Amino acid sequence: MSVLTAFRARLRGGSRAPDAPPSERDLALVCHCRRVTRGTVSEAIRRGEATSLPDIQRQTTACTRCFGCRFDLERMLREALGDGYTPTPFLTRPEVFEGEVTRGRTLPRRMYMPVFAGYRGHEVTTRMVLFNWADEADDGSSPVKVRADLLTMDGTRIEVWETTIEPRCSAILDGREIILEGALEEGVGVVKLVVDTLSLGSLRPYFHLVTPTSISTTHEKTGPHDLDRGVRPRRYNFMFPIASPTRPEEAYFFCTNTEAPPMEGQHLVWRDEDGEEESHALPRLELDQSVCAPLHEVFPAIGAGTGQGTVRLEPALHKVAGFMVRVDREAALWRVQHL
Amino acid sequence: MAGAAPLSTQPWLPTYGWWPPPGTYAVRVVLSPYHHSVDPDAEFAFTLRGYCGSSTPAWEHEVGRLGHGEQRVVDIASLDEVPEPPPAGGVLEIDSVRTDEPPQQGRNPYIGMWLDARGPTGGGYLIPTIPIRGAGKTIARDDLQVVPGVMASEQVETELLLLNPVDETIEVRLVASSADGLASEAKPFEVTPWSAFHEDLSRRIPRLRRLLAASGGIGSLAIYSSHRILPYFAFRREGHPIVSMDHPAPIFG
Repeated sequence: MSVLTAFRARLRGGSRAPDAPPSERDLALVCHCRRVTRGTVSEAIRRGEATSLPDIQRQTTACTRCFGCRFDLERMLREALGDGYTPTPFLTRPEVFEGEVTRGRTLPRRMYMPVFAGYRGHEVTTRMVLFNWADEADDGSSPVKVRADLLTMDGTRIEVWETTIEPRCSAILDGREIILEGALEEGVGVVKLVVDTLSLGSLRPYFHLVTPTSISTTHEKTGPHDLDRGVRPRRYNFMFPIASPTRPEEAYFFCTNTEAPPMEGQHLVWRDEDGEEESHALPRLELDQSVCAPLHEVFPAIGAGTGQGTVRLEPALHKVAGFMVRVDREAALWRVQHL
Repeated sequence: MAGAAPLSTQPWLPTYGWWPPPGTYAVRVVLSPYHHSVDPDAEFAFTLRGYCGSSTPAWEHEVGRLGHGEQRVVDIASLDEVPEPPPAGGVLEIDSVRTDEPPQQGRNPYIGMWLDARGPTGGGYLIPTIPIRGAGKTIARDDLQVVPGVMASEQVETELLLLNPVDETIEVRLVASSADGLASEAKPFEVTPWSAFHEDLSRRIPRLRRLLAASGGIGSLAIYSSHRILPYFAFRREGHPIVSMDHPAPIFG
């Protein structure tokens, strides 16, 4: 049988009184990569050894691999230090863990895909499928270990799954089972897959957007290996092609910042065949934060179905995990494609 | 009419998509420079061609030269020179050439464009066009591509599309597997040169619905081929149109 639900953790919960004995929450993992508990981090803060995110990284090793617990740790610092906490950039090069450097890569692969669950009143859910295809021509004996984090649009991690996929088997994560009721308040979020680079070769995750009348599919988009390589000019724009619809459609531009530097000053630019342009500013996005922009609302020509051309992300700087989604609301037909 | 885009003499590789059968999808090709370059001095030339069984195009449409920032949306159905393709459709070639400079070392030597296809009752697909070779990423295997998450049940069917834009017949072997690793294999078949193969997956792979029943009608597919081929797949709910088409995953090196 496919091994899917080997581990699952809920990450929301209350906080304990300062002098209480270690609670279940203290024993819970906050950093799933390094297996660091909340109690360990709390203790480092309490003893004054950690007053910043880099301090926690150095003292506990938490948040030195996929950086998915960053928002949790910042919240802990803010709660413990109050006005004494000043946010600082987090370390992105795990220099202190040189033993883990393999093949010149120090970080796991991070792969992103959107998750829709009742977004804007639509009857839509999301399913993810991963296939360990290894055959006799390859080293087909290796199971693949995968961790999937469910993030809200602001990057907060609210669910974690871990699973091992045996050779020639598939793992199926059904959104109706994985997204707890009300967990995604906006009806949209992100799944971030964390996979060891050495075992990625045989894996490529796809996802399905499922409605009563349609199933649309495409694959995830991967973040860069070098998380803090610095924002530098890209040679092309991420773009969303628009041809006049034959039926009324909603159109959404979904993207996640996959790099350590904040994504700021970015615009969506609609340009039609006649060269007319309109621009829409995107909000600032930290690593792992996402936006889902309703193009049919911000660009009237797209909403009216009268224009043909492209929507592009300007300036061409960040590596984003980008997807385009189009919705025929009347027929409940959802169409997704990666950029 | 000239032949196919010359792979050996032209530095920019053509890319391909589906030229669908009549009455199925209205295909528009979105030609835009932004997916390739931010250089305001870049210049491009575009030619569209359709093939059905021969390397001699069944039709050709020269879009012309466009500067950076200029965009065109070409409706294939509106072109007078386009005849009806066979029942499985044909191969659509988008020959995009950057005229002001050759491909730079380390960059993909092709300029993919986008197809926006609409069905008569809604749905359709939006897909970038891709080359038969020249992908920038290192491909470990030319003989295998995989589709995580194919479906076959009474309610959902997987449509498989295979495009052969080379001069040799390609032999294809399909192996479907259930979530727990049980497999069923289709009898090998051939896709003739410059043609399209389009069929429901459960018609090609024996007992596919039964194989996938234990996991909700979901499994995965391996596509073995004697030469690299261009596969696409889509899901169709009973009584409804497909809504997207995507490419399988290559095996990266």
